[in-house]
Amino acid sequence: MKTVDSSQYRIYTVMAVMCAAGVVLVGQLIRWQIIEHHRFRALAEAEHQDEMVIPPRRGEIRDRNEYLLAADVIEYDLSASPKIISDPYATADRLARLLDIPRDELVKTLSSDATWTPLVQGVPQAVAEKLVEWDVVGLQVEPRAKRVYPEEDMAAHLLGFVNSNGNGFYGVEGYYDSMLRGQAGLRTGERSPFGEIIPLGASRFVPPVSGATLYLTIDRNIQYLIEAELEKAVVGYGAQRGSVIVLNPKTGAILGMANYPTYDPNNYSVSSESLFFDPNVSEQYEPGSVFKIITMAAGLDAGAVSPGTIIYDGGYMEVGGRVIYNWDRQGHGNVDMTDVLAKSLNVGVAQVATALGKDRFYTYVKRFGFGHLTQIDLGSEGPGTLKTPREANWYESDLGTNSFGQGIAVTPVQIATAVAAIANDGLLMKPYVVQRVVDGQREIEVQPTVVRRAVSNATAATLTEMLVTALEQANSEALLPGYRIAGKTGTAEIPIPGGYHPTLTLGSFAGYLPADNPQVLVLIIIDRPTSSRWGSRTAAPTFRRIAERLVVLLDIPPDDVRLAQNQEAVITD
Amino acid sequence: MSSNTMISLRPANVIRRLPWQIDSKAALGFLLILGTFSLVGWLYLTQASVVTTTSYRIDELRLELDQLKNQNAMLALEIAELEALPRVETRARELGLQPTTNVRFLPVSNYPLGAEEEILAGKSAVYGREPLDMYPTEPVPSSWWVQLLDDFAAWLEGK
Repeated sequence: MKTVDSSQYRIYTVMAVMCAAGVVLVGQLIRWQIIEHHRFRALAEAEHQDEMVIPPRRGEIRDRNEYLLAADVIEYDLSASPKIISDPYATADRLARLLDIPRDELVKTLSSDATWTPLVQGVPQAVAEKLVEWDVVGLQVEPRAKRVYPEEDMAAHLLGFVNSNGNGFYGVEGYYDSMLRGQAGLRTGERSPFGEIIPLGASRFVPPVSGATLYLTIDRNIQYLIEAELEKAVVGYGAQRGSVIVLNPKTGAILGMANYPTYDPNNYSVSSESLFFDPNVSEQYEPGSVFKIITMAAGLDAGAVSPGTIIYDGGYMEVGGRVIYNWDRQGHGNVDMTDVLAKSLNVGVAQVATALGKDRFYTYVKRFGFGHLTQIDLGSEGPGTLKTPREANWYESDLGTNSFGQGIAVTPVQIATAVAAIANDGLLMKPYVVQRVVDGQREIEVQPTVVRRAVSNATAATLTEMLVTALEQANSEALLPGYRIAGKTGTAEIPIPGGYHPTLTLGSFAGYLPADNPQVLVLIIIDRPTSSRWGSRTAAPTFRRIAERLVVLLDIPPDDVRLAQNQEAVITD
Repeated sequence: MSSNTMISLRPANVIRRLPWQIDSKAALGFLLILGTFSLVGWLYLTQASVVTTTSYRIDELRLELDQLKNQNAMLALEIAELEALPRVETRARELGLQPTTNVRFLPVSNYPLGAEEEILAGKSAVYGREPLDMYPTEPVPSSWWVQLLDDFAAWLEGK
């Protein structure tokens, strides 16, 4: 009886174990078949489904006259799987003839034990087609987009570049990357054992969408001109670097923007990374005497001074406990405001600033856009540095030094747009470099944007007249016969820890013409020239050389011809 | 049929009585069904063949389109490289041309303005002149108001 009980117990135990195993199995089946049904189905489908991402074609960049500045071309990379190449010697023979590569080198590569090895990069389309035609098992030809800049280093800082992964960096390429890159296409379908999509199987094709084409405000002729002249100036004056901005003051459209030294975006990898930033929008500098235009504009607009206001220049002045001297350390006696600009008197503008008072002075400085981004459509823009009385590190003496452009840091594009506001009847415009965007059937024309009124129309007109007279009184090297030019030279000392460099300076000139109806504004910056420390000897003559060719390119006749034409047109009407 | 019915075992009788023996109507029906299935099968195969051929053709055309686009891009680039200004300048100098240094403008009376100039003049008017009235001169705010605004800005910036 005891034996029977024992065998029954064993039977029950076995049954219980089997039931438990059954429950586990059923549970697993429920999990696989019901709970994780979708996951396993997707896995099963993925086994014989093929999915291919089709890269889009990156949009082109063209200048205002539709000349090509950047475009994608397709190159092909050739690689090999030596293990599955049946006859490496014959294959090497054919490749050596086609690619002009030493045969022995190819034999060595194709006979190796490597699973995969790259052979040649950047094969042209005709060669790639030939290789595909051969249909050699073990040779692969992969297409790859390459960004090409046909004008080489022209407008490199403005354009930026595209890396090997197709990502745009710096300049227009960086700022408009999402617009330029387009949308990738997709091709999915059932795959045959040979790896091809079965035509009758379920398949889907989403075509790639090419990126938008951008038409810039840049004129490549102007760009070429300013780059050539800038290079000559930097080399000729023994400077470290230089920048030029040419813009239409009425719209804020940048017509040309150059830096020297520069780099070739086709081979950006061989250049130093420090060259990639565009100094015109990213780097800040102390503007020096060019900033006197802003101080004088504020003084005139607020009614603190007028062109005829006479002040006494004793050669120095104390502001906030700091003594300010003129550049020549001389006193010029009684001078009017035009003399202050013509002789570039630090003491004169410091008196204007103190007459304005700190609140009104900095209100105007902000109105001209300093201390803020101009919001130009280029990557890596800097806001400059502007200390205001509300900040702990501002001192009363800053009012004096800021009035002649010391102790304040601006970007070249900030100073160019601020001076352009004077040329544009007092209206501050937002600078921009993209004029038109064509995205498939869609076309967007970028309209000029007024940021705000900086000064009144009357103030702008008065100051323009003063700037013209000041340049003529100073017999500036910026003057171009036949044209009335409004502008101002600047020579800024270079800040170093603990003060300013004893000898090195930064020469600049901002000017526009024709003074009565400004069509173009040019800003020149010559950094650390060695032939002369004065902007009047470096930046001003560079301005004239550029201006005399700009008037030809922009078809601006001399003032007498133009005004005679206008008068004749009025009489005819 | 009674259980004692005699069953003839002659081959002809056996064959006649086999279950697959069908009459002419059934045979016709069978043939019709067979014909219909054959037709449907033929249509399917024809369609499949057409679809496959078309699919391959579409692939070929797509590839051809891509290649043409690539060739077009290459040609556009080649044109751009040939038009590049350094090259144009070098070529012009080789031909004995020089940059303009002395430009003289000759006023021509009653010179008709072209359409382009009129458009440009219009644009200039829109961009340059009209905003004058739209953006009146703002009065410079008094110092307490500037200070209040600066305080508010500093508070917003967390200073």
